Amino acid sequence: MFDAKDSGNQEAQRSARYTNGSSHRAKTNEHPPFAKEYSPSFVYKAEEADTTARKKASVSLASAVDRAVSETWEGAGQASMAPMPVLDFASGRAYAQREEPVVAVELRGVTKRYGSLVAVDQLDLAIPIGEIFGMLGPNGAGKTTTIQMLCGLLKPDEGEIWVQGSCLSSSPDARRHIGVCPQQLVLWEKMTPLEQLVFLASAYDIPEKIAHPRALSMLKALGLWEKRDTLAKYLSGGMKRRLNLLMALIHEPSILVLDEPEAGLDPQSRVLVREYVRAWVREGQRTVILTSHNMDEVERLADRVAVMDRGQLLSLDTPEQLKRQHQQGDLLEIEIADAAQPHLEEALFVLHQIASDVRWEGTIVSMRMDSLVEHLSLVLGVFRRFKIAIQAVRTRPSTLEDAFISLTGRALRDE
Amino acid sequence: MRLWSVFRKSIREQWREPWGLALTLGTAPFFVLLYWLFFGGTTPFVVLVFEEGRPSLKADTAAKSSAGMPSKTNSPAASKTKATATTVSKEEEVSAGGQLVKLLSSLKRPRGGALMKASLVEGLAEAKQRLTRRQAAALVVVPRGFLQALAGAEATAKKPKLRIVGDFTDPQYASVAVVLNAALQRFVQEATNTPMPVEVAKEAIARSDQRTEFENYVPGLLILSVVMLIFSAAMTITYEVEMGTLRRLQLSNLSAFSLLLGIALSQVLLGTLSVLLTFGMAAILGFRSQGPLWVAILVGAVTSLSIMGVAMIVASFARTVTEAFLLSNFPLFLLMFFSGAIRPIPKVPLGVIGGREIGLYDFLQPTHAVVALNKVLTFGASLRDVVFEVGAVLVLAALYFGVGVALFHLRRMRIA
Repeated sequence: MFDAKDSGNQEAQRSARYTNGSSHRAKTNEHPPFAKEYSPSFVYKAEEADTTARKKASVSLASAVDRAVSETWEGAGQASMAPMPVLDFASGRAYAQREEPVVAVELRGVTKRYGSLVAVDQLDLAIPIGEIFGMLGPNGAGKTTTIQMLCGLLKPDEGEIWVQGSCLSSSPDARRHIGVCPQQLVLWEKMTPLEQLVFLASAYDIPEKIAHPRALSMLKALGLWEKRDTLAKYLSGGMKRRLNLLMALIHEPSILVLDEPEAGLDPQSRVLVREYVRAWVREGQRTVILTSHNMDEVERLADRVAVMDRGQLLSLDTPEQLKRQHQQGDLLEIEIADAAQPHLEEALFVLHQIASDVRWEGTIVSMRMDSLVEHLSLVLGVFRRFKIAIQAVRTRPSTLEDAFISLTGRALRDE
Repeated sequence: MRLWSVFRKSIREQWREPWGLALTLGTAPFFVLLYWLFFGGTTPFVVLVFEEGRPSLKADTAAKSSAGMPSKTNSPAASKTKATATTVSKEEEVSAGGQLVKLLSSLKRPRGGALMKASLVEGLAEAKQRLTRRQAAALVVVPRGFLQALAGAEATAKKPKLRIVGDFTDPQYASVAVVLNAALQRFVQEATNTPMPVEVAKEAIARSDQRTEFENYVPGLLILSVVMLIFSAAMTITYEVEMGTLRRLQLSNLSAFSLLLGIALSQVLLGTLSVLLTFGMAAILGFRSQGPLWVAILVGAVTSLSIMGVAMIVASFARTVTEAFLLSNFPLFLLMFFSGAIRPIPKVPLGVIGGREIGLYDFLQPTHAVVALNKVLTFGASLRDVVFEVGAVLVLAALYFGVGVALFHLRRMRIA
């Protein structure tokens, strides 16, 4: 945690007044001063941008960072009464030069081209410390390129990437802050889990006397203790996935990048991995960046979600906010007894007046509507009026996937 | 610490890949064994002798056949048996061809064992066919009435002509022709009872005359065992690329130098073990080094190190282990054929450095290793005698290693 007494700058002194500020904030219902200060910088960036989508993204980014930092501050205040972190978003670079940044990763106007293809287009993104950040997007959206750039494996053509207060282009060592758990298994098949972890730690210059007990404790935590001396090629798929995750964490990074972390895991392993990741974030000043095609997984884990497409950020907010902003209503499915109903088309015409996205496939009539509970009796009344027998009624609340499809469309994408 | 970790990891992985390990360590000793089985240390040259105008056995057989005696000459197998007959009958002993066969068969190698396996043949065409098939190294054609001609040679203007026929592209021909030339001169001297006015004596450098054909192949096989490391080293490095583990190591800021040197050292250890096993196998089968064996092993180890740079260059261009395997064939053949490891090749001079002529093939590490091994194993040279060659291999090792690391960094580890 940043120590305000050591900073000596104005913001630090001002924020130090809020060291015990949770009660103060509760009374005034205000954001701490730093939150007000950094918001305009993002609004300013949004004004520069051409698209409405980016404006939305920037504004919601500001609110999310605001919220995340407030929570950090609140938690710190309640738990240990530690000094407030200081943010100076107004001057863009200022926080990055501080000793204890509060933003884990920031991308500023990052662009990456492959020939004529713009894989990532002027991307601005800030991910605060302590957040589980989800990245969604169809194939070719630019997620992987973005992740590779922020891991330091690709150089952006334009823009800057800051990791824990260090610019990656000028301080490649900042990559040490990042641990990457790729979707595909990246293991040394002819080494045991223990050997792999200790070897990888040595690549980070961690002495074996430290790496060995650390590896053992990690293996225990993810249920691989029994298999610590078994060659990786003999491990089950789920075990390999868990080991894949541990490989990303052996050097104790502060930022963990997870690419489809739950792919190929059985339900028990999924729960174990999810809890392990959550606990890992809670342990300290840690951040998770998560990319996945599994909306449920992202919805369950992520504090905020960025939706990307064609190299651009389309939307950025909490899963709940995204669903709210881009919802097309809850889904109602009605199964009718017989598809050959004489008045079905008339009924569908009426339903179009009270619901959206009305579809009829075989014996299933589906539609979307807000306030499903309020309108359900009305819909059922339409069926009754046209003497259409109902077999079953199913409802499904709006999901993150609905928001995702709403943002990116239904068209299939190439890789 | 990183270097040691990579080295240890690489050794572990090699150890746990029994087939790969067996191939790396066992190929050259196995080939030594095969060569020994095929050549057995002393392989006599097969020499055919054809005497023009000598009565054919066919005529005798035909006569016997017409008299109602059983004959097997109608079958092709029987005629083949005749053509390859190696025995000399009492009648033949008095003929020039028979006497020549007897003389040639009596010649011995310096370490014992027959130098030639000579036999009389009946048909010239068939003898030439055997030469074409390399079933024989040379054919001596004795003219009609050779002994009589020798007796009256001084009186007649026309000298009898002995011909040594052979396939000039057959490496055995060159060796056997020299020996045959001397043997024929001796034959003529004995037949005419005229001693040579001068004595021509062969003299071997060091104990090169003591080398068997099998022993001559051993240095080449040693070079092969070392050059073969290109495969295992290139495939080991490319495995990291193909499996994506290189990405993990990239994130850790592990340098290309540490990674490649760690892998290279583990491969050098394997290469040195392979050289030791090859020597061990050769020694069991009768190979004797004229010089100190440890110098030859040192040459092998240094050459292994120098080969690593080539493997790294291959790995820089390969994305998969299969690609690495395929690409490795090119430098393998280049290094084997153009270094003189298989057979000596003419030098392509480029210039003189420090009083030494530098040729195009001097840029191939095994060129110097072959010379060094030859000096040690055949001529009994010590380390001091091969300092230049070992130094040249080390310089080339550094050069290729530098190029390999730079290329690998550029193509596989650089942040683009």
